[in-house]
Amino acid sequence: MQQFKSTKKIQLTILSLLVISGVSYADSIGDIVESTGLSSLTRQTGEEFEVSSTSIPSVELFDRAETKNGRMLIEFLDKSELALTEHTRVIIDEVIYDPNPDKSKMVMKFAFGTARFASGVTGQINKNNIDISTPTAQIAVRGTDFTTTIDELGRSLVILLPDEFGDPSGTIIVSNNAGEVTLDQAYAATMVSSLDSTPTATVTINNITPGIIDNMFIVNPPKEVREDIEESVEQEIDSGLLDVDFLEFNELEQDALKDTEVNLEYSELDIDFLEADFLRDLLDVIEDLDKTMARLGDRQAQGSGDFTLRGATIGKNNDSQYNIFVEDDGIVFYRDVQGVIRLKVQLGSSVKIDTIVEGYEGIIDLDGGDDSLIVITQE
Amino acid sequence: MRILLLGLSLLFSSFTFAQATDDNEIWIDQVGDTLTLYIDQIGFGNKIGADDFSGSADYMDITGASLTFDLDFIGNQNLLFGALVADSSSYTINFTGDSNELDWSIGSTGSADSSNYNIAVTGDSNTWDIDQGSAASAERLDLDLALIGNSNIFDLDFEADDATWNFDITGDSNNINTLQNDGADAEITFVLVGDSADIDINQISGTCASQTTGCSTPSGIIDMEVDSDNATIQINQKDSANDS
Repeated sequence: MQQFKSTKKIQLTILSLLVISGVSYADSIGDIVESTGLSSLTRQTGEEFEVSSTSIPSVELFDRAETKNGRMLIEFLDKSELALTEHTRVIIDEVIYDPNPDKSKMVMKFAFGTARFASGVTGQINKNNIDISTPTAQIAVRGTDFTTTIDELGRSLVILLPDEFGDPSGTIIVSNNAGEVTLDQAYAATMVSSLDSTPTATVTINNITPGIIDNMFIVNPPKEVREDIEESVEQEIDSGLLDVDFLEFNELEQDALKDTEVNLEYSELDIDFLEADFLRDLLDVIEDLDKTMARLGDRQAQGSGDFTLRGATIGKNNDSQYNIFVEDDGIVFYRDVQGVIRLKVQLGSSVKIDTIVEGYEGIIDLDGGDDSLIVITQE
Repeated sequence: MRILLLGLSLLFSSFTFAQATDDNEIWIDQVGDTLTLYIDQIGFGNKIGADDFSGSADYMDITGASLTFDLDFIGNQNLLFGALVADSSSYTINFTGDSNELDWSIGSTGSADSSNYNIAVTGDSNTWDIDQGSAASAERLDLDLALIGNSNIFDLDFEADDATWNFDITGDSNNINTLQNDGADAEITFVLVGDSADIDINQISGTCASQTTGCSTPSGIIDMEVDSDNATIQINQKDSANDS
């Protein structure tokens, strides 16, 4: 495997500056320290950077890391490591570095293939704030080294790896809509077939090492996992008519709005017009602003078209005090603080909204913000 | 009570486009209430008022109250300049054509309360400059503007309390500069459909942006709907003295 000399000194300097200043870092968040074969990083703008011995792009927020016939190892600023085997895709969704580990955050989506994640040793991010998701499961990390193998249907095999002494590297909780399981033994594994099917019971895989975990597990899962899946299937087949508990089902427990479109989640009717904060604590403003500048904060609209929002989220935004919601074919930015501003932007537009008001200065990008510029000043 | 009804129908053929601005000139000097002024201007290169509003001559000086204006311009390169002092007046203005120019000052030397505008413009490269309330703050101003066309330049400055505007702009490369100044309860609803627009919306006073001095009734409202690529929009909502 080809090794790249990473610029450790620069990284440490950047990390130190971040820790000292508390400023969220919105550009480079890590480096590719190892690479072999074909792999690439794709920016949020769609610009793709092939990784080669002569061209090693830095890792930035919202990047999509993808390997073809190659492998890649990414080291983040907090020393977390993400390793991708062949034909794997991971989307780096949100990274916040804050001097307070409780306010730091890392969110990634493992799309397909086999990837390994080891949380950082610097303790800069509270492990409770590391959120890894696959198409069918959420993985909560508690100081851990683990792998995921995801097939084309989104089925996810999650394996907890041992530490250097062979002990469990920590604990991870794998959950979805149907339940959760905890992995706390070395090479403990679970398989999740869909968002609404319960993760399989924990099994411990024998006779493997981290190095042999790759996409072969897609076509040939470990024997222990395969047996557990087969056992689950048999239990389902055994469930005949007489086994059905008709009293068990309760319609009232169903959330009928759970899967509805995003514009039902927050609308103009949800705006609390008495909630406007006219006398904001300046420290709260700075704290919110730091978070805003570094996070992805995107929401995917469903039904009425997709969009990406940066610097704000759908709903009430405490930093800018915008209420943002989808209305018909547009996105509404509503702010009622010492004057009302209601701005509706057509879905599909690429707009940058620069707001300069007392207590808040920030930029909100809709779908990249490349086309139109709207500057709102309130003095 | 004086009632003056002036109906003008001017029809000109169009063969010397470059000299069109000299084709016809109308000067108006009117004092009295309840004027109803109809002008139907058909053709191009016609002019009502002076060459420009900066002159000191008595061009289109109209003073009165309860005035009604119904102006229709069909054609290109027409000019309309003038100064008005008019309370409780309504203005219905329809421009159809390109490269027309309008420069009005309403309330330049007196009161101009309770104005009601309904303006429809269809055409390209028109230039409009309307000022109201420079001498005394105008109250109760209602302005509806529907603009369809490209590359138009509109500069609308109103110093007025209780101003309500409804703008509907359709077309590309339009440059709209608006100012609601010097009053409370200012409200603007602005719908923009078209690319490469340059929009400035200034709502000065009528708001209470300062948290230090406080304000019991902040009342500025800006409601904007945008469907545009490559637009540049500046929205200023201030209780300070200066716009953008």
